[in-house]
Amino acid sequence: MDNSLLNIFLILVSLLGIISALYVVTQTNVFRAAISLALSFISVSIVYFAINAEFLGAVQILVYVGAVSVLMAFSILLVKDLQTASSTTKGFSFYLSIFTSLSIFLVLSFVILNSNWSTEETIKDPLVKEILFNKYRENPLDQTISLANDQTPIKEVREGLFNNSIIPLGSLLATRYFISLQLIGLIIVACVVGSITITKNTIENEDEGGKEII
Amino acid sequence: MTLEIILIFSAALLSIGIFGLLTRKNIVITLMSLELIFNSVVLAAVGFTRYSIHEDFILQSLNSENIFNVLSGNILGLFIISVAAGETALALALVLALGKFKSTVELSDLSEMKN
Repeated sequence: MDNSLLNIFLILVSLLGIISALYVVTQTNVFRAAISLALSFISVSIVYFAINAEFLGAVQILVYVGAVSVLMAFSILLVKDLQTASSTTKGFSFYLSIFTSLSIFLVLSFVILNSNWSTEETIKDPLVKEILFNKYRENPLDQTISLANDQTPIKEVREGLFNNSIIPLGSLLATRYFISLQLIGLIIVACVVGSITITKNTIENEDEGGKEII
Repeated sequence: MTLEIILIFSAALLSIGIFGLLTRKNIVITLMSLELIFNSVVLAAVGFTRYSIHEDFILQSLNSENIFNVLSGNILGLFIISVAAGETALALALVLALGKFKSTVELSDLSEMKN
């Protein structure tokens, strides 16, 4: 895709995401806010798909749109008197909040637009471009990286890193970040056990007719 | 210019999330604002992964050991998404218990530990 066309597409998708996020924080109907939150998550995942991070885009749709938004809508429907929330705070604190968030956004935008990012346009090396977006050759003897051409043996040719990022990500997760992956699994197990414990106490206390503190 | 667009989208999501955290008193809307902030962080990490150049590329010290480090921002995003999903499940279980026992989900009503 041409780069200016990609920029216009990203601006449109970002506007969609920003508008739906604003709808989330100003809406008093919580169910509509949850649906709008799912739309905001989808626009973020479209950005991921557009900038060659397909794995994270798929994870975003699976986890956020498929699980978190649906879980929120589910719990809204389960709890009585949750469909309508209180509106935003009024008066001085409201204007103070607007001032705080707007000043954070303006300062961040100023820094972003005035920084000299060393983006990929500044790199003229053809080896880097080939490694990232086309094919490269990995020598099995001395483990060096070089350009691939027509005479390269087929089993030494690797796909480019952003061209096919699933295999490098899986390789990283299985070698370098293996302990971190196990720790993330442990954290998720702890979260599931905790939430089951809280909800189980709720059901037991309801059976006994007691109004105990959780 | 593409990196700037992505980063400004990320900054906008961050400030909208902070605005929601500061102004709303409903516990579910507060959780939604937290999710917006997590999303902005992951978006910035993925944008930097794709559009900034890793130092190994500048130093030309590439071998098969370190070439995958270019994609480590995606791994960071994956971990943040996993932890945020677990935290959301835990918080929604709390919301269910609060709605059952207190019959309220407004944060300003949950102040019995205050004095």
